[in-house]
Amino acid sequence: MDKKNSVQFELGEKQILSINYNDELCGYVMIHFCSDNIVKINGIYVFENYKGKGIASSAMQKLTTLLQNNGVDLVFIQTRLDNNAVVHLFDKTGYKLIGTNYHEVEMKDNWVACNDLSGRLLNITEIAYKLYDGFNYLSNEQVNKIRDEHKNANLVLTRTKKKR
Amino acid sequence: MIEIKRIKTSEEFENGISALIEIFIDEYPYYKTWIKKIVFNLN
Repeated sequence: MDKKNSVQFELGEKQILSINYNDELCGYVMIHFCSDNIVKINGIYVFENYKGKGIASSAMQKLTTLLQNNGVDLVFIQTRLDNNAVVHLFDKTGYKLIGTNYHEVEMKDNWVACNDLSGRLLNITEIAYKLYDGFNYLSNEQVNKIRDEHKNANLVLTRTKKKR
Repeated sequence: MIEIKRIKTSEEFENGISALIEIFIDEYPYYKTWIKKIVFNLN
């Protein structure tokens, strides 16, 4: 690890946290403090054998509370447009879809979701523009339209698979 | 009971990075490059 990033981890700007269930390691989450009060969740992973037990949802809630208790105002997270399971997780844990951003290397859009923990920051959209290259703000109506499109796409895929 | 803990040892850190890369590699092929870039600052 280069010195700059090593220092960032030592200072806690970037952190990998373990998710433990009844004292057993069952996953990891990576977070990035963009500032003292703004955090990006860069990835959350629950081991396969612990899935289906609501651990990801509980971990997200626990992490969010932890960040809130440490003075964090805003938490951002991303997922693929068609990852309905993760979008549902966002719904359950208070993360609101606020727009998309285009990933130039993968050539696809991702959802950008945000949890406003304090209500103190009024310029959430401006912050998202600064944090995510190619961020595109969406109204609730636009968000719902895209969600519907991807829900339907998944249904078609399921039906196609069943026919085979 | 769920707990979120800060990783302290370098071994735990390496395991965490490996696990995160492994799980996202199918869904996001770029994730491995990306995570290495943000962790190890590779270009």
